[in-house]
Amino acid sequence: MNSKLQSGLNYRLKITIAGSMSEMAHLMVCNGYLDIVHGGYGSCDLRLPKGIYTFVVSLNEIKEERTVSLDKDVYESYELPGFYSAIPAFGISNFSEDVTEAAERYSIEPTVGLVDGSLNSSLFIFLSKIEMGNSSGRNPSLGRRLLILDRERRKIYALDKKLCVKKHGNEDWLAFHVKIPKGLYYLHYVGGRQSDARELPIYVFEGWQTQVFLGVAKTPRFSSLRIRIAKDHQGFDRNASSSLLMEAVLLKAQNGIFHFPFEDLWELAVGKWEDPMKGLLAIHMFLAGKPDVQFNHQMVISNLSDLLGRDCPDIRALNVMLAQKLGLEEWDMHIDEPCMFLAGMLSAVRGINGNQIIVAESAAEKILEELYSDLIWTSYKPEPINREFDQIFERIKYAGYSLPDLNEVDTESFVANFEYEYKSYSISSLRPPTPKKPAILNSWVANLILEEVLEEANAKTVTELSAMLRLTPTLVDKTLKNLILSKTEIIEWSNSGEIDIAKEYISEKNFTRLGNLKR
Amino acid sequence: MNDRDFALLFGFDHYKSLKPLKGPIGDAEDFQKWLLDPEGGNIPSGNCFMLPSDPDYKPGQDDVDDRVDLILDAIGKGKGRRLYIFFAGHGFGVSYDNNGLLLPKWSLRGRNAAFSSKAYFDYFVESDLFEEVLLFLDCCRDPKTSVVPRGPRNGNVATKNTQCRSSIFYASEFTQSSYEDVVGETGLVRGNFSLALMRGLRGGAANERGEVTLKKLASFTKILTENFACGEDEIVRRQKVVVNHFNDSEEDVVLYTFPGGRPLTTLTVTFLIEGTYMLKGQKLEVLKEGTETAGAMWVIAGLATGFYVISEVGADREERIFLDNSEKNMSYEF
Repeated sequence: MNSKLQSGLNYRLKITIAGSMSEMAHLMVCNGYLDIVHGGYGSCDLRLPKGIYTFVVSLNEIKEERTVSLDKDVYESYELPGFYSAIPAFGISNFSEDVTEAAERYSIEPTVGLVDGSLNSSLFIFLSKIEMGNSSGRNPSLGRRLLILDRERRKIYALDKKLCVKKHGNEDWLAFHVKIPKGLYYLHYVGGRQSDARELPIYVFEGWQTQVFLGVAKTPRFSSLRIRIAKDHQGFDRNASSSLLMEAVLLKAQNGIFHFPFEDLWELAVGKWEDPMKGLLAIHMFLAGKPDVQFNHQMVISNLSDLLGRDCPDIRALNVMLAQKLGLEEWDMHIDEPCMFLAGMLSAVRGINGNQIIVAESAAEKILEELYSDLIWTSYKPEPINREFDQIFERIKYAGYSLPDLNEVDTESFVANFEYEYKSYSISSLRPPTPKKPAILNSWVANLILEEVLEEANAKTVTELSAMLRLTPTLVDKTLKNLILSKTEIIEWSNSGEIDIAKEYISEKNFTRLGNLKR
Repeated sequence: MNDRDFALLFGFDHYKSLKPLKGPIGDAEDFQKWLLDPEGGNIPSGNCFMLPSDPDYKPGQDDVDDRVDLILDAIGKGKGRRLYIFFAGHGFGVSYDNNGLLLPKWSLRGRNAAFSSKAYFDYFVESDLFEEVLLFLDCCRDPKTSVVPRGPRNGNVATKNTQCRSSIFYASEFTQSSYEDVVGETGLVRGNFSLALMRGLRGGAANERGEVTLKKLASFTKILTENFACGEDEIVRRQKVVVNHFNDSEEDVVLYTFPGGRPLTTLTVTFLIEGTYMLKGQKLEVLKEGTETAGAMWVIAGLATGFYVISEVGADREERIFLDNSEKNMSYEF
């Protein structure tokens, strides 16, 4: 609480913000002339001259504005309302008891038959329906187009298959729980349109259950996504300590705000960690926050390593962040799989002292081109998981047919039907081939390189260019090689007529510049 | 006339691959009008370089740098007093102190079609070509990955131990969006930040001496932008203006002084029911009090920017009236 009691001023204005996240709420007080007389987090106690004052309490999307007449001591209080979160716990969200009970029950009872009874790690996914203002019409089909992929990105479960999930008759919730070996998995949303597709890496730790909570309106609302980690067999605990605090930290981080009361972060960082996500959240806040905070980062990362394993991507990424924070020159660390926290991925991309941390051609590198940055979690526009569909769609387009609205049709049956009909078309019915745009030019990295090399003569090496583009050197190098290999094809295409790339990017001179970049 | 002042204005409505905007050109034109107005920035029209977008998705970065060159040419070996840079359009946050300002041709593939707020700002500040550099950015600051906005290509400036005083007004916090809305019943669309800024410059932010100072403008713009963004909707939009001052000193920068003191508004209050009413000013001083019949009006002249309170005596009914001095006359029903 900020105290600004000053003598000589007439009246006291005490504003108390109540509620679980009161310390995270921003409070601004201004006088009748619009001069800001106080700005800070949490409650305040001021002494001010007589007059009209207005105060604004804000926390993320919450905002409350009030006016007071200060001609006597004034005591105002404001109770922060609850926040939406996909976590069905008291004080965090407004789910009914049924929903919370379902989350508790099915986080203990697997919804998929035991794969291996000896496994002590599991994945629990809980989807819940979100009421969106004036959305009308039918209920969302909760698990639609949501898949679980293994580390090779093969589909292993579809959440709309009744056999592997439990769900409420009215689709208020859907639970999926499987005993599964530790390691990396992906939550993959196919998306009605390809532009809506999104994928998130989810790591399952030895001895733990990774719990993913996601709200769904007509489509999944990824901003509501929460990840928790609980001891396997323990299940989801609606009364888990520090739940509210975690929620507050997460909301702040999601809004790009890394200011947080030190004591609260400390509570998360040094607890006993029945949920190691507390430690993960806290250490990310410390590493992203002000550099002058005295805090033993190594100790927290070491404790997390002991619990979760030092080889998991998020622990590796934390070590990279720490090395960057401390300015370490000597280090030896590599990341080959994406981590769950976006901050970790971005740190890994930056590398240290020009050294590449992300392993070339690895799963971690492959996602970099399409990384989203609107969540605190790593998420990206994924490659379609079934390449055959893409090839078939290409053939459909090539045959002069228009693609269906993928929102309206079931993709698999459409493709199956087309495959059947397609066989009856003769080759002669197809349009004569014209030079096609080389696939490499659909890559924005390739376009960026062509443009950057032409416009900026500063980069002399691949490493310098990758630093400028904030991509890994191997990704830049690989794209460069592909560009050079496709040179003839690219130039042929550029001579064929109207093209959607500036001609000067596709000149001999520019290709010479590409070739001159030192590896 | 402030012939050592210059301005670089960008208003981009048209975007090849992004949602078109409706406010930026109007925002930039409003700012330009203020700059050219003798009762405003009072700068010569030849010193004011305006670059609006067009349906062919122009301008590009060369056009931006051409304008920078024109300013450098005009200054020659001398030193300018003040440079205003105003941008309204799509943007993204690179970091806490750097924004990508998207050019109309920006697309996912051509994601470097953006210029860097920090690089251009630093270019002018470090060159010490001006005593003051003021940057106003009415654009989003949501982050995007692997996008590298470009700096000016006008050659390196000789970095000097600059005495330049500078300020940056961001329309929102880093990672957050900025919004545009229809203004009242005019049908015009304006950025909330730009609208607040203009109202401040036009007198809302003037102090009792009639001076519109940089710091007062900052606090006025912050408060008004939040109010505009919040709107009447159930879902609250959060738009918090961030202002950073560099090489700051106690003495505030005066942008304009109204010769006759700050502009004042005449408020007309119409009473809907009979009662005894009281109007109080910013210090809770009673400005007027009396018993009125339904339909009666009070006309109170000479009111400055700020909050007022009107109340029905003995009826526990009280409302706040906000005057931003953007209009000479304002009506209110109570």
